[in-house]
Amino acid sequence: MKGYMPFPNAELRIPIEYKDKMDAYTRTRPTGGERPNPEDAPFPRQLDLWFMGVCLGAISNERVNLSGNQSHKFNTASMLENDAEKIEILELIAIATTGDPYIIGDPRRVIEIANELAAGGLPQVMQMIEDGNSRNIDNLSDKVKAKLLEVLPPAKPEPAGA
Amino acid sequence: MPTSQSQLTAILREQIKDLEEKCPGYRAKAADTLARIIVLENQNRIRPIAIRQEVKRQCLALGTFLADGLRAQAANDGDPTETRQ
Amino acid sequence: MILFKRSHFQNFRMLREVELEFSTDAHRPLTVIRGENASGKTTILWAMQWAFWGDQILPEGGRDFRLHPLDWHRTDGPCPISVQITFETEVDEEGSTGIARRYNINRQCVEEVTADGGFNRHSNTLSLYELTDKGTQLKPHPELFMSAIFPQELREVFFTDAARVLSFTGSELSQTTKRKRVQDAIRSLLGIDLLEDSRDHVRWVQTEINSLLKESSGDEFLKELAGKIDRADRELQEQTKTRDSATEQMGELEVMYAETSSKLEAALVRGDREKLAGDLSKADADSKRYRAQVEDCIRMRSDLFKDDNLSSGLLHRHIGAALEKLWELKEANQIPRNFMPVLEQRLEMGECICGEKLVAGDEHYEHVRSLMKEQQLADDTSSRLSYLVSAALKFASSDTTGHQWLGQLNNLWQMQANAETGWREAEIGRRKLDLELKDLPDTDVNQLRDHRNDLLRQKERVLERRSAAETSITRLGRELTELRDNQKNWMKRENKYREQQSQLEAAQDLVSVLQLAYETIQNTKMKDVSEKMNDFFLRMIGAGRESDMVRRAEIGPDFDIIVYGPHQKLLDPDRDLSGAQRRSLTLAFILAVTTVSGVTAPSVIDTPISELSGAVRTECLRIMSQMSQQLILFLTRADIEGVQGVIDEYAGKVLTISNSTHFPQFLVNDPHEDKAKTMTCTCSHREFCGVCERVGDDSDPDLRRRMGAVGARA
Repeated sequence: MKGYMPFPNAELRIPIEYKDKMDAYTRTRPTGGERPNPEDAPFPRQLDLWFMGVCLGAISNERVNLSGNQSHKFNTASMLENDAEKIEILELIAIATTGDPYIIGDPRRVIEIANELAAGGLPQVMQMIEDGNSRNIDNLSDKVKAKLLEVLPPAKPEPAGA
Repeated sequence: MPTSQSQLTAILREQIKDLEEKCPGYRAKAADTLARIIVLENQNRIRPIAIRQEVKRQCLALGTFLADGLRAQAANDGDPTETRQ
Repeated sequence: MILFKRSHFQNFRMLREVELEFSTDAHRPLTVIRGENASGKTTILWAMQWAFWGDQILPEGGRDFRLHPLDWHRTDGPCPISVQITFETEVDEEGSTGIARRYNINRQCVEEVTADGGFNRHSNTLSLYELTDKGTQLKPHPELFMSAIFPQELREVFFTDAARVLSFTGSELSQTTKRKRVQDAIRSLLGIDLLEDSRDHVRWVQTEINSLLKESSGDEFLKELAGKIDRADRELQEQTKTRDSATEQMGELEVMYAETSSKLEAALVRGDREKLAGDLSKADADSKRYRAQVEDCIRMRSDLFKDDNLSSGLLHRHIGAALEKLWELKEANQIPRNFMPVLEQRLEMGECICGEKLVAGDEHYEHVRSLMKEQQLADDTSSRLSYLVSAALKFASSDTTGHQWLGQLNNLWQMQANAETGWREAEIGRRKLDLELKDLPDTDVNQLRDHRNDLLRQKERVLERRSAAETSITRLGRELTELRDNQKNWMKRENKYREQQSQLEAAQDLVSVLQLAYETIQNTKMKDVSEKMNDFFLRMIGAGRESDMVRRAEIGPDFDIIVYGPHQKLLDPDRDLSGAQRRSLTLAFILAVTTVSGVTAPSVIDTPISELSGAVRTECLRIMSQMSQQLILFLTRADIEGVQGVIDEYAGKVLTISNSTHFPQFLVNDPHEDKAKTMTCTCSHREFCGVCERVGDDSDPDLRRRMGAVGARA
């Protein structure tokens, strides 16, 4: 749904101890300055790193409660305005996590759940980046590929003659 | 170089054999003139002399020899126009 | 003929007081001066040349070249230096050849050692004495006399040291220098320059007589003829000068052209700098292109991490669980819920579904309106939930999108790997080209090509100039012949011109004979020198057979010494001949030119056979001894090994020189000398004595102790 933005002012948060790493592993520089190269900073935006955290937190069912001064707000959910599919995924995760479809009627709660899942998943994201002997992007790609193959059913064979 | 003088003179005498004997003794006189010129050239290398004038003297002497010889020849042949100048 | 009889050296470097006698026996013309390294052999050679030519033959003109002994101290005072040579020649100061005369030349100078260790040389004198039965007679103009007997251009012919034994064939000399030396030696020895001078002087006489005719003749026609002859003659001389200068220039250009062609070929073999630079630029561009591809692949891989296919793939199961919940609502018809239209309609109708009247403003109406508001919210949520069903259904096929994401990742990985391989290979190629380019000497192939083309154009221009001059010379020659014939015929008619006519004829005859003699020497004698050189050379090196690499040597028309291999292949003496062969070639040339010219003068050579071995060495020595009027050789013991027989056969005199400071390292006996000096003794090549005995001589089977030897003559 284009133009649908239920939580424009909701804050996107991460545990404060991951602030520096989030900066290091993403390419955007909101305050300006030289952008790091993708080999070292594999995520295009901070949002993408946070979203990866949400996904991994959801997969491992890890939610970490974020209290005010223990967390860092890196942006607001308004940055999802033009990303309808991510909003849909966040709502679906909230429904799956709580078992309550009407959770989407409380948009703040949807983001809260996402933040908690992200906080739970971020350690895995960092580990994926840092573990391994290759460059960050290669370590991350390898681990994400492995995780995908873990959760996905086997690919359907191509129809004969395709 | 002085030490090749005799060789040079020998070569010149060889070449002179083809020279026309314009009057009696002309060829021999020419050979002597050339030998003398060679000596003068060598001398000039050791001690500068007025080489051009010396060579000129030799050439003129040969010329005079030839003129006298031709005159004598003409007189013998009965040429009335031949009078010594 | 010139023969050295003896020489005396005083304070010329380590020749403090040395006297040498040379063999003048026609059947045994060889004098051997045996001496080891640093015994003074080369010093004797320098000293003898200094006697003839003075300071100009010393290194750098003798300015900083010390002549006094090294251990001469300031406190020893001024050092008197002299070299005297007694020689015999058939030439006197008038230049005529005849009976043998004896002369003594004495060159002297004084050197004073300065406080800073330098020296001042002064009081240079040269004296020439004729030695007769009546006593000695001082001769005037000794410099002129000596320069006539021993012209400087023949220095390399008569005095040859080990280094200059390559003075006509050495690779370190330019082609032009070698050519000039050969040409100067030949011209001087064969008398070519003397003939040229004679011819030019007689021509001058011709011109003089003609000028006289032009000025003094009363006959207008004759005057006019004389004027034309004069003009034609002058022009002929000009054109001859132009032709000769063009010929010389052509020779130099040929040499430069050949050298440039060689350099160009070598540069092309090593690599074309411009082409390499072009290849490097291309490799650089390839490398950059591949690198950009690698960077693009990495950036695209990074962008994959914001792709929704990834998150939907990872959350495949959660989305499935959410869908289940949503589907339950849908099946229970709870989504979507659409009460809104019914309520709106009832409001419009003004009647509720329970039948109550709905009037704007009354309580029932407002209640329905607030219900509508609540429902709106619920409907929104319900709509959203309904929408999420379709979204979830879409994501339910996220196994496909997840695999799609994996497919994209794999593709990008493959592309990156290919680009990295390309980059690596391009980099290797680029670095290789870069090194090749750096290793290339700074020889610009294009520059060499341009230079060569420029030389070619210059050659063409010079050739044109020469051709034009030759054409003019031919035309002027014909013109002059015609004019002179006319002059002769006209003058014959008039008796009064008989004398001048005869003088002109005589001068012309002399010029013709001199010109013929000049051409004979140029052609015949040059050919003789070339053939003799070839003969001596092949005999010296034992070559010339079918199986040999060296087949023939000759002197070319441009005075180049040319060597041929099999099938007339031109050999480069610098590259294709060994050092020994090049030395033999120089010696063969010197021998040939002195033999053919008939010049009988000494050859003084320092260690000529030191780099020759075996049969070559023996043959060289034998041929030189047979063909020389007087041969003075400086030889070491090692040089003498193997050629003792030749020395026995041809040496009229052998003496030995030794260095006093070689005791005790090399000399066995203490010479009791406080100064470094050259000592002499009359030991032959098969002897040693108390003066010259060296360590090991006693056990050398080829040497015997000379009995009754007196002390050193120093």
